[in-house]
Amino acid sequence: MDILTICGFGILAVAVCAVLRHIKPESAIGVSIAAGIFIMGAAIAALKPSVEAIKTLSDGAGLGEFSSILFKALAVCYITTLSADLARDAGEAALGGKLELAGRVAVAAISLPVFTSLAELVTGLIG
Amino acid sequence: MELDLLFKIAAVGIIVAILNLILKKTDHDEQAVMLNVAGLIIVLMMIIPALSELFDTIKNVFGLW
Repeated sequence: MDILTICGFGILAVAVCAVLRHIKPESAIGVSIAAGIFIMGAAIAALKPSVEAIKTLSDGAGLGEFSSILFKALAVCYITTLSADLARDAGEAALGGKLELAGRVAVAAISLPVFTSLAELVTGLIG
Repeated sequence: MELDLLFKIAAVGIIVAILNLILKKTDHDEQAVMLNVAGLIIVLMMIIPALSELFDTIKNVFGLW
């Protein structure tokens, strides 16, 4: 799906949300959730070739497991920004903040092995 | 494409709003509340498959789990 259809889709979703805002606010939120899901799905589907290329490059460069950690953290960030922005858009700023906190905790948990290998490297150099 | 889902959700919202007014005018207010809940559930039932489709695309793009 090229960028033109995605932009047209977004503008149309904004128009539908604006119309629905006065008639029924709940379904305006539903429309914005659905539009956010589709646009992010299209964007991430378009990301696939570049992710494959970066994976093959990083496997060649010998930092294999770090690239998988990198992509896992990226996926977590995408999902948490989607949900946090939707929550903030619907008026729940506190909920959005909690979702972002959970996202940071998840990324920290995922990237733990990187810190341990760094610590081993440093102690190896010093010791 | 997914455009029709967007318009389906908008249509459900508008229909529920109109029926709500009708029920309020004929003073069946409790049914209006139930109608609101039913409309919300219908919208959620439409959104959840799209959400699972998004999570599947994220999974196989980033090769996770």
